[in-house]
Amino acid sequence: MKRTVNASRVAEGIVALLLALCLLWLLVTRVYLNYVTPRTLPYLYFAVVALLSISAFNLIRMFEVAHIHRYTQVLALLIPLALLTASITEKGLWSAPLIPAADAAYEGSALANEPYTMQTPAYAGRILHGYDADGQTITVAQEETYFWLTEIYNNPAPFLNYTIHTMGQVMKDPKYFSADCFSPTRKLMTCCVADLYTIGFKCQYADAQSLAEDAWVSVTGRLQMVDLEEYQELRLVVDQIEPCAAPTDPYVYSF
Amino acid sequence: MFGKKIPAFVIGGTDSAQRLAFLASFCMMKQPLRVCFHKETTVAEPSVPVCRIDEALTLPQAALLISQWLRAGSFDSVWVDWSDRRPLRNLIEIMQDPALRGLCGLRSIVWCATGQDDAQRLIDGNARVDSIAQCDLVAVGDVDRRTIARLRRRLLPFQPNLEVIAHDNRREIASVLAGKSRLEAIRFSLAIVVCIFILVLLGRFQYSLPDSISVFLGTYLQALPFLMLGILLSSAIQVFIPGDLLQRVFPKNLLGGMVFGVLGGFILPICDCASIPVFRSLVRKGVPLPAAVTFMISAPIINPVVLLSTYYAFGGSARIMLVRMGFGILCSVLIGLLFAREKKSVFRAGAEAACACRHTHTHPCDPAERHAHAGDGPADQCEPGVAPAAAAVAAPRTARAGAECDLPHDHATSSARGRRVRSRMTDLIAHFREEFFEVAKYLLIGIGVSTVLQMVLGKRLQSMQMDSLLIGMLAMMALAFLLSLCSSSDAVVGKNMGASLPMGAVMAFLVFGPMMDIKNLILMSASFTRSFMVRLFLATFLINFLTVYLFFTLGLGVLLA
Repeated sequence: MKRTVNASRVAEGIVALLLALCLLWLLVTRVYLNYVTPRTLPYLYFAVVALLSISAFNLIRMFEVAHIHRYTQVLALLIPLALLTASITEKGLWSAPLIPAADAAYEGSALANEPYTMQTPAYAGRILHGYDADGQTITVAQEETYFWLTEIYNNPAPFLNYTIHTMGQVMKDPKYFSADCFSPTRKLMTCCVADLYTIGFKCQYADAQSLAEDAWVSVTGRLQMVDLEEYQELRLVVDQIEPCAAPTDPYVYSF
Repeated sequence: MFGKKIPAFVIGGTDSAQRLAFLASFCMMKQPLRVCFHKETTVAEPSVPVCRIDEALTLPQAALLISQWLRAGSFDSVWVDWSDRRPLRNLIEIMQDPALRGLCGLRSIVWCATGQDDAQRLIDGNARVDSIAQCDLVAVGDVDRRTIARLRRRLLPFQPNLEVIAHDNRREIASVLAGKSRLEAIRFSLAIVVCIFILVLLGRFQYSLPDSISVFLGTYLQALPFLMLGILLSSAIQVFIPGDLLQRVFPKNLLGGMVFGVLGGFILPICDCASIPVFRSLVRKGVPLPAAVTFMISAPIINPVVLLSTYYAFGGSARIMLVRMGFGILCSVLIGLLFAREKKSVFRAGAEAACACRHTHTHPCDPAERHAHAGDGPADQCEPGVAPAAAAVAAPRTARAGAECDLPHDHATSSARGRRVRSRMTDLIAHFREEFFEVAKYLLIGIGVSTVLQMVLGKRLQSMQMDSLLIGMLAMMALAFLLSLCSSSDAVVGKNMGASLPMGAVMAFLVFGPMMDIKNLILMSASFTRSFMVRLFLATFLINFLTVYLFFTLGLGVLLA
């Protein structure tokens, strides 16, 4: 007997396969970091396997006959697939390389220096890079932005007068900064893109107003406790500032 | 002559007299052909030609015979009289055979049920649900309206477009026979149109559409794997844990059950999305409701991953971590206790009797526990033509060949064992697939609603001045409910947002959020009654609010200083 194809099963199998492949592409190219944190990586691989299982199950049973076809349940996969496609296109991410290059700031200087062991209780023992005790220099690698900020702001004394190299997007909102201050900020993702927080060193720079808001800059400055009228504030007094390229990973993370 | 396909109608049911009565009532065609697959015990209308299919014929032979009849005469319709002794998919295969495909097209499948007993069999789940899942209409005669309503609630989960209509409502039955309604498709499409409309509306009112989509996708990619993990665990419970084992080993007393619930929550590293399918499976397997509720409420908040992330987020504060865990245990036990006297089923009609793949799982060796598959469920274990009860009678009970099996087959055979493992794995995937599609749409709706509320209200709530503990707690609980964050990473959010808030407000956010949020509430609506969900929501809100408020107004907040 010539077998009839069960169209709803085939549709479901194909959409599940497409979503699995789309997720796999997100993971391989690290584009998923635009939406969720690296901590989700193993779970997303699990989701890919699960979707592939659903797809295989449907395609193996594509000749199972049915009178009632539940085409609408395919929408449960088709909607996220369509939104993912639209979002990736809108962000211009389709051209992401399959093996993303590491960021220059991390590769060039940070790894070359001696490791630093965090003292902040919650992260005690965690190794950070880019620390040069003799030269009193810290090069903040992108993925360690949150940890260096936590370590330095938690106990600034040992780092005073250190030269710090960092990078970020210029933020000079007058609600938070005086005319001679700005911050090279990074967006901290703790759960997913639904919760983003802006973090960064407060920099003192006489020509801060000349900087374009949201421009990517690389900043070198000395960490100092600046006397204000009523209190002291930890600031990075800028020695050098220059424009730089946007980083590969759009966000930084807290783990 | 055969330019247009001849419409075929299948009349199924347990009683041949009922099927014939239906045929006599609704066959309006001038030249119908009746196809009969069984030996008749009732005298049929003599004027209608009958094509009798011998039981010995194969499916292609049956298709060929019907096609020969159709070619020989000038029939305007085919009415197939189908007894429930054979699975409906055999008939669908016949109708889709190349010999028949160009000649006639299957228009509608009707299931006849007459009388209270027949209807009750369907309500109790003693009829073939695989057949019902393929029907367009269940025509019920000689029963009251209440029974019809119960029947509708019972059967709709198996086939969302199914019409359950009283036998005497000729007009409606005729319209269903004329063409199927596509209610589910219309409803779902409407939901999508509403979503797109809301997203476009957000875009017009200062909220960027790409940002909204990113937030939606972020929450989706965060929730999807955990939901799948929960469904996998839930399916494993359904497939691998035999019969009433959980019910037997679970502590019978309330306290013991609660302790088990809390311990389960502590051991399993699952978040809120995953705990709901597992909760559903536990209740289906007979775990007492208070213990299962305690597990569902406590798991997302007291598991090691969440505790560790709380510890890190609050700068290594073991006190905050322990207080959060303490609140998690206390609130979940109190909430569980509120359901100790629950007698009514918490499941929506139809959601409790069968598992997601529409068949009841038990140990495969037990003949009394045969599978009754839906069309979409795994079919390779089905035995066509053997009703569950008949199988139980037919299989001779012999001395135990194996440790837990009554059937006379060789347990030591490795190929048999391999087949059983393969069959279980197939069951697992079938289960997983069915349950996933059952809840996936609710996940999408939940995330959609959460995204919209987050874009519209989230920022305003975050920027509110909340110096008082009371207002701060209410605002942070509302925010936790709307944001629907994953419990494994909400501690950092709570800490960052709570920098200028009383600690009580932050704690309320950390305790209430993992237990109850809008996404999970919509996920739960896939399986549970509205009444249960409302009570669970109110209990969770009030108990959380009162315990945290009392803790901080009594001055115990100094422990966290």
